[in-house]
Amino acid sequence: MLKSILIKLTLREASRVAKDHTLILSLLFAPIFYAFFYGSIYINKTEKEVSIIIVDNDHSDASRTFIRMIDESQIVEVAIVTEDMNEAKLQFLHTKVQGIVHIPKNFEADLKGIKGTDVKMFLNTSRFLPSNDINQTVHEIALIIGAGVRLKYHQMHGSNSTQSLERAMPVSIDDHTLFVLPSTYGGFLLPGLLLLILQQTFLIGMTESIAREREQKTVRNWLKQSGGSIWKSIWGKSLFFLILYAAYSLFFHVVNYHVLDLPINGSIGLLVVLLTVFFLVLAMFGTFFGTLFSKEIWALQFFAFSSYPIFLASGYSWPLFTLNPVIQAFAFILPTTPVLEAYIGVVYKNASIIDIQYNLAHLLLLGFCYGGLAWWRMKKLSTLEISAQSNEV
Amino acid sequence: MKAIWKITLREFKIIASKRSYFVILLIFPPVVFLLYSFIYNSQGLKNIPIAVWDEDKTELSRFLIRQYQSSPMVTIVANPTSANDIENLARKNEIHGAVHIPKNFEANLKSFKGSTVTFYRNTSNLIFGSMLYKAFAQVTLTINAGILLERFKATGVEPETAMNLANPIRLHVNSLYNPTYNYQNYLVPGLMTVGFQMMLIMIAVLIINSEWENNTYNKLLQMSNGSTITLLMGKTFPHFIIGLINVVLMFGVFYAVFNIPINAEVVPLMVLFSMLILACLAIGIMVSVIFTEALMASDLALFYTSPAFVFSGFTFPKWAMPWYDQFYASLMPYTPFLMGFFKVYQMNAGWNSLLPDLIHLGWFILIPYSIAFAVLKIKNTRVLSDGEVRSWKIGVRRDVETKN
Repeated sequence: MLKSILIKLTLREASRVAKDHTLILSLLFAPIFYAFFYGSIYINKTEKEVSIIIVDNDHSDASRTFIRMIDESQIVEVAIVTEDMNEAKLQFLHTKVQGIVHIPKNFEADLKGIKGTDVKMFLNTSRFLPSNDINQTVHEIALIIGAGVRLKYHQMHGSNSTQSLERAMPVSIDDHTLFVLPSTYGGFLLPGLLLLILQQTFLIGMTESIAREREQKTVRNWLKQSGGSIWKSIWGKSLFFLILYAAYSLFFHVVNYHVLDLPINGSIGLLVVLLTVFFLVLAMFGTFFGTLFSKEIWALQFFAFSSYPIFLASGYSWPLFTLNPVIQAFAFILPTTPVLEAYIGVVYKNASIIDIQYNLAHLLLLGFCYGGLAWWRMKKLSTLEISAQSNEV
Repeated sequence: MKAIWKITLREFKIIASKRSYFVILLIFPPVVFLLYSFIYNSQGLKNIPIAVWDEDKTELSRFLIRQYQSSPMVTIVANPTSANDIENLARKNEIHGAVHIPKNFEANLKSFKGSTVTFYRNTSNLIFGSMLYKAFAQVTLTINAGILLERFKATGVEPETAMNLANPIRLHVNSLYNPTYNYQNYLVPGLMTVGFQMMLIMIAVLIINSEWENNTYNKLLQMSNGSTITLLMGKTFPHFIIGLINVVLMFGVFYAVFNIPINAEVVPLMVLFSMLILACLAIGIMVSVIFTEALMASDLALFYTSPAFVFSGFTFPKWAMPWYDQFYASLMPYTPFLMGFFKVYQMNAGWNSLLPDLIHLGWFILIPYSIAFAVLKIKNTRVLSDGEVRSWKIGVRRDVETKN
């Protein structure tokens, strides 16, 4: 009985979606389009060819070596070498370059004479990523040249090559990435972005569908087909979305992860469990919010504007513990917050169920709360429908 | 002129009476601006939890740990005893990075041998990863310079020469426009403006087609005396004014309350925003004229505007994207606006620097309005050729002829 009602309602939902081109756009076109479209931005994963201008007032072998080393680095590209600081400033102001490096006169002579030399760097920090990359690259190269100067000094003072090397850089740094991760901007952002695409298109589709029931006055028919049961009506509609998004999840993790060269370090079984719980919670969340809108377009507008705030408040882009307490409270009531942390844990850090137990508990708690709210709203809607029916009679 | 004014007043009344217009144009902006300002109000990232695995346990290793601890960026919360422990702690999100000081660290350094300190960083969050590297490297390089300085001095080298040997290239970094790398000053203006352009377009796509859906288009056309330009101007003006009010709200209230610095001069800033508003309205109206169904138009607007932030090059530079994404970015008014916004708002650059972005934005006004005009003109001709409107049009002509 239950099985047949659920199948009937799922088929009803599929038929409604097929007849509504806006739902087709939101549910069938948007997830795939967004996943490839957004993903393609970060296909190179990291930025490259961040252009800088170098003002070389020395024209020596050492200054040319310094410039070459910067240009040969993976990220920074020396776009122009000039003698004129005014030209450099102009290029900088027109944002043709992101930084200026000034090599002073006597750069080589001062290095050879162990007098030390002052190199100036001007960075456009209005955007973080390019300025950070230039800063780190030039610093590293300055350190390498500095170590080279000391190496020569020690060799000239009788040390052998190994001793000179050790003495040039007493404490060396071994930078080790935890877990097997792509330490690039794309690698950082893409998993969260893909999950957000799944979430937002799911919510837009589901809330639009429920709002449409209200707009077209088909709530009574929806409830009737579920035999008058609130829960069956909710689950019947949700089942269609759960099946569809299970397929999308599979597609994203097989195709998109492969195309974007993203690793899945954790257990696939745990990933399935996590995503199943997540979509169940989303179904309750979506049902509750969907019943609040009496027009399909309002649901679309609301969730269109919610994507950025939800993502930013979730703590993915900026750590949650540093955010304002009001925002932390807002983040707590969103399923996005626990799922993103757990998802990155499983996908990237090979987390076990114990490691993500609090996130799962948080998700389940939200599921129960939104489930209760969804039931209450549906009950209210059904009461309204019954009274509307009796008025008609 | 009178007809434009009539349509303008009518549009203001529609905005005030329609719930979705009112909410998106007048309620959403302050709410969204407030939310974005609040999210990054804490500004700096401090006290990132890290672990220290000290295998040496000597005076020098403890000194090194104290130096790490003194960095405001980190706080030491655990003392693991293996790399495995570090991974487990990171997996539970208890730490975001760790430092390993090896055995014989002090002994090796005292006997002029090198020693390697290992940084473990959780790069699944790029912000933590890069901030920690900065904090770890700064401390370690300072220690390095100190050791070198002491060693050179011990071998009888003059203090100044020792200093020059320890640090041969003195790199002086001048960070311009956002010198403290303040995340609020960096991100909030961008988020506010992207939300703003989205609101403008999402409403603009309903400006014309809602008249068809509500069967009020003929009346509107009558008010415009059958002039497509009058109709478009009268419909645009109220939204332009509300857009400007929201810009004033953004800078006058939220920037002031949340202490977001503005280096810009008022005139270029307002010119830039005026052009963005007109460009968004032009695109929205074009979509609204072509797609008669409001929901479909809204769906398209959502697909078009929602990628604006990531494609504009705000967080990830445009030059690092594949060519087709760069091309798509150039099809959105937010991209040239953002370039110009950075120049005006943070760099206070002159008109010369701003001009290419204004020209680019100008195309977004000219082309969509031209298309909207052409399509609407055709539709108006059809409307005028049959039915009610034709009769009043004839009536108007007769009146004019009689007067003449």
